[in-house]
Amino acid sequence: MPVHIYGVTDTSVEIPEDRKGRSKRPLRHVDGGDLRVIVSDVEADSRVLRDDLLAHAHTLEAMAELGTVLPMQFGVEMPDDETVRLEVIESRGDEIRPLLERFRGLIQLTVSVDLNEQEALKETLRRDPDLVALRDHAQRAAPQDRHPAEVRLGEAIAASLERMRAEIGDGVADRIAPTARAVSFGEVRGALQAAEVFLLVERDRQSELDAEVTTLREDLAPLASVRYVGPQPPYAFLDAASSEELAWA
Amino acid sequence: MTITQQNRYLDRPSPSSLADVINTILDKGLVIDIYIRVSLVGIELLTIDARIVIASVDTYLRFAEAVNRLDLTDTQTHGIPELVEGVTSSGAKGKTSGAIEGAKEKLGGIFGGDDDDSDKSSDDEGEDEGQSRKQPARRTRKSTSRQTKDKED
Repeated sequence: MPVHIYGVTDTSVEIPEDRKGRSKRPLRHVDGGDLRVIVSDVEADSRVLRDDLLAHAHTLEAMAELGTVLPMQFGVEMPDDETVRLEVIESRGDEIRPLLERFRGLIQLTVSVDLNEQEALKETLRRDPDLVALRDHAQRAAPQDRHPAEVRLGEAIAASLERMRAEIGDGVADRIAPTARAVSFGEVRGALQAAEVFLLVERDRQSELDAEVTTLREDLAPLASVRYVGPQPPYAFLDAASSEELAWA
Repeated sequence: MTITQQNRYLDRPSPSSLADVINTILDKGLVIDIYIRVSLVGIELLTIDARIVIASVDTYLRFAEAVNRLDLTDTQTHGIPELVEGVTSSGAKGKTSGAIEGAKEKLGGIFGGDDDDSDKSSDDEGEDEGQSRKQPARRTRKSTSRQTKDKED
């Protein structure tokens, strides 16, 4: 049966007993020397369900809690354990070992900030009297003029939201970055996401970020809400670390 | 200040929701190309779709309608009656959640039809995902025009 690959760690890190893999199948490991690949059996050509994505992510997060783990991108499957040993441990071992070493003692945490639509819309009107005028104009417009007036209003609102989330996003980054060894920014999605910040943090300094996020959440309410995810394996820092771009002490 | 600190609990990070995995496990991680066995075509489509939506007339009209619902006194003075606030926000909320449901279905369709089953089984796990479950749909529905800002900076 083919195997789904979650990630690579070293043989000191055990799989938590209560963790299950994709389709609730047991997690196993394939070891070679000091390296350990986390896998589970998977039906050939099986469809991907939400739970499969979450099983992959949550397995890696549970492992990251215990030790350094390098995540595989979702979707890597090999025909059997022997191929895993050959293709991951033997062929890639020399790339993987230095990476594991680089990330030792470090975890990724993700802070994501979204504007709350109702509050953000009110705030746009509070900030900009022109928007209030545009709205009044749209409301008074004759039926045939109403559509273009509303499009103009909506466009102006969208632009104002854009400025607001850029401003909040920059502020968030400035506040939380100092706790991290390295910072990376995700692609902001939707009209309301203000920031997605990935932070590479020393495991024993996580509580500092916890405290920062706590005050951030209080300060941004009710205009925006904060999501705080982790600990995760260092997804956002792998490329930089592989290409030696990531400069940290 | 002292009082606030006494009552304060410290934020702790939670596990990924479906929204988070789109930017992590689908986008980043070690890859051994020839062994990629899962087609991610559906997910790419979903991302593209999300980017188009924001700069659209539909989005503008939705914003326009949403601000039309806001009470003017609410936006100009801060001492607004509680009742007015309640009425305006609940009206708009009804509309928003309708759109969320639509997007949710779409996401379900992409990841396969047996959504109900997958939802049930994840409920069995019973972890702290309840609150985050709605977010992926919301994210996929909208899109961004600021997506590259941080990268360009």
